[in-house]
Amino acid sequence: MHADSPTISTSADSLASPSARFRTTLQFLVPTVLAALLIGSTTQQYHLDLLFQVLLGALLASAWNIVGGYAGQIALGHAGFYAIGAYTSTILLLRFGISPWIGMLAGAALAALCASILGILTLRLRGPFFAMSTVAFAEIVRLTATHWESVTGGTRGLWISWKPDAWLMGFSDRRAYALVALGLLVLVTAVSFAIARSKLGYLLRAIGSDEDAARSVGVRSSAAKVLAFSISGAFTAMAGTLSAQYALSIDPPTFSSFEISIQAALLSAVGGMGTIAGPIVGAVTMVTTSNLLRSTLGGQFGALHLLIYGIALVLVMLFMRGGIVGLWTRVAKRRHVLKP
Amino acid sequence: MDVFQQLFISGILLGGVYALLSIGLTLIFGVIRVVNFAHGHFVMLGMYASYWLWRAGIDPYIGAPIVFGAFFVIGAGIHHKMISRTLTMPHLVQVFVTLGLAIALEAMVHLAWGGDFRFVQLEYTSRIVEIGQARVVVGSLVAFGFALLATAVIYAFLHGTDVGKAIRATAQDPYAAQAMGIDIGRIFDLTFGLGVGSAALAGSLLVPMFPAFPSVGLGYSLIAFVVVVLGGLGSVPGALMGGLLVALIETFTAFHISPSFKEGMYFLLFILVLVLRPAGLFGLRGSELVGIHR
Repeated sequence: MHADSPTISTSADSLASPSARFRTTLQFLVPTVLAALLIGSTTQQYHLDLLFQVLLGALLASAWNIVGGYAGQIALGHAGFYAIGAYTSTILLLRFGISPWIGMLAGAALAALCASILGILTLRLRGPFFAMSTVAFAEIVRLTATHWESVTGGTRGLWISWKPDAWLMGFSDRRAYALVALGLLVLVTAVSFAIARSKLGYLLRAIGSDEDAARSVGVRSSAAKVLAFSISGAFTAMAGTLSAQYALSIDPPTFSSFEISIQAALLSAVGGMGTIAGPIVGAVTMVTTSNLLRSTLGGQFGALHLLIYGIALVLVMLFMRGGIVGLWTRVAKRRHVLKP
Repeated sequence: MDVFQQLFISGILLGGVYALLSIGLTLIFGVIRVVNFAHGHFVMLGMYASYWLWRAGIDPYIGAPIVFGAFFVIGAGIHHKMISRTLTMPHLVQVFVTLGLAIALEAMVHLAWGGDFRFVQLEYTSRIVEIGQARVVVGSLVAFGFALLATAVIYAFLHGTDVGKAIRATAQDPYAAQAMGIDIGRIFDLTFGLGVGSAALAGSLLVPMFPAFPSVGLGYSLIAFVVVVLGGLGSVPGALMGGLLVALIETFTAFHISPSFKEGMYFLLFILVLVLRPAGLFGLRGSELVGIHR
């Protein structure tokens, strides 16, 4: 599948030269600073909500991309990790007064543990079978959240009483939440970049393009896949914690529904799987479009954005598997050939 | 003993419907080697089709064959135009294309008819009859009968007719089938149509008992996944056994442990089966290594 999906230029020699390293740093720094400025200049609640959702979508998609994009594993249960993150930090906060910052790490650790157990059990399954087992995992998490009422609050969920205390992840200037999301996105992007350049990245891409071939030359595919799955799950859980703190309430339908699992995969696929920029590009285009549609057309066409999501996914899969980033790279290359 | 009999009979009746729900999925997988993530959404569409026919004055059980016929054509068309393009591509593409189709179908239904629950109320389906010491609703009895009949017809079609034999030959070895002069492209279209048609048929049998709403599809997809993985993907008798097993587990768990555990129980079982015997209880060993022979 990586035949036509581009990967960022990470070959050793391109990084060796100081100018290339400078360019890479700029590629990271400029969008980050721009995004931070954009957050800083936001004054309306609606714009801030949109920005936060875009950043959260980018975070989810980038996390999914580590196991779904690089290793080509069809994970459709990331809602499970997201819920683990949201519930772990919230329960720790409500019951023991533990800071959500620590809760976030605890949730990430728990998600990584669940991912490695699930991964060890099911990652030897191929394609759709692995996909189904991840769906079942997320369903088990959802059912646990729904029925373990004494701890999770059941269908009513849990409410966080907001305090203006940064240590309790409560900010009186709500733009700070978006900055935290941006920080996490920078972190997951940096980790993705490091993975893409590392031996693990090469192993994952080898597995993603042809697992049998990779195994036949001695790649220990299981260990690499389990590691990628755990990292991916941990970041998804962190997104869950942040989202819980932003919404101030959690319940099973909003935090563990199948739609979240789909969104993580879909944004990454539309933007460009197996690339650093793809998930971010996917989140910016798709989340913005769907929000604008919802706000301009109103509630009765609430499902229209889902129709567009579905059609976009089918069209991207059939006709441009590299996603938006893949299309862009192809266009850029062609221009390069025409004007040497 | 009374309770046991009651639970057992309701479990078996529910199992028949679960089997019909899953046969389409197992058939499509067995022949085309595609796991259709939109399967439950076709069940949902079948429920709506049956509902609208009922509103037009046609009894759901008389409308069921019409629904099957319509969705057979739709399914064959979808395979011909869309799914057939993905067969040489990685599994990821097939999963995402069928998933995208599912999302789009659900959104279309939502846009067209809103999110309300829609019920088909028939006077005779809610009546209660006694079988031995157990009391059952007529609707579930009729659905069970229909499901068994449909399963038998599909089985007889696959084993008794030339087209059915061509389908099974294609499932066993597409290359050899092609070499024998079978147009496997047409067989694939036909099989997908059959799978989608039987999903919609199951929907029209369910709608007198369960409400139709846009997001109902996912739940049915999940049940079908559990049933076919348990019975062995690709095996029609496996789907029947899997359907009965899942329904019995569900019924007994709901009564003896707690209703809130019934779904969790079969998902746990599902992962367990995938881990211990991915080919399913009745499936061919190695059938989980999809795509190797393609």
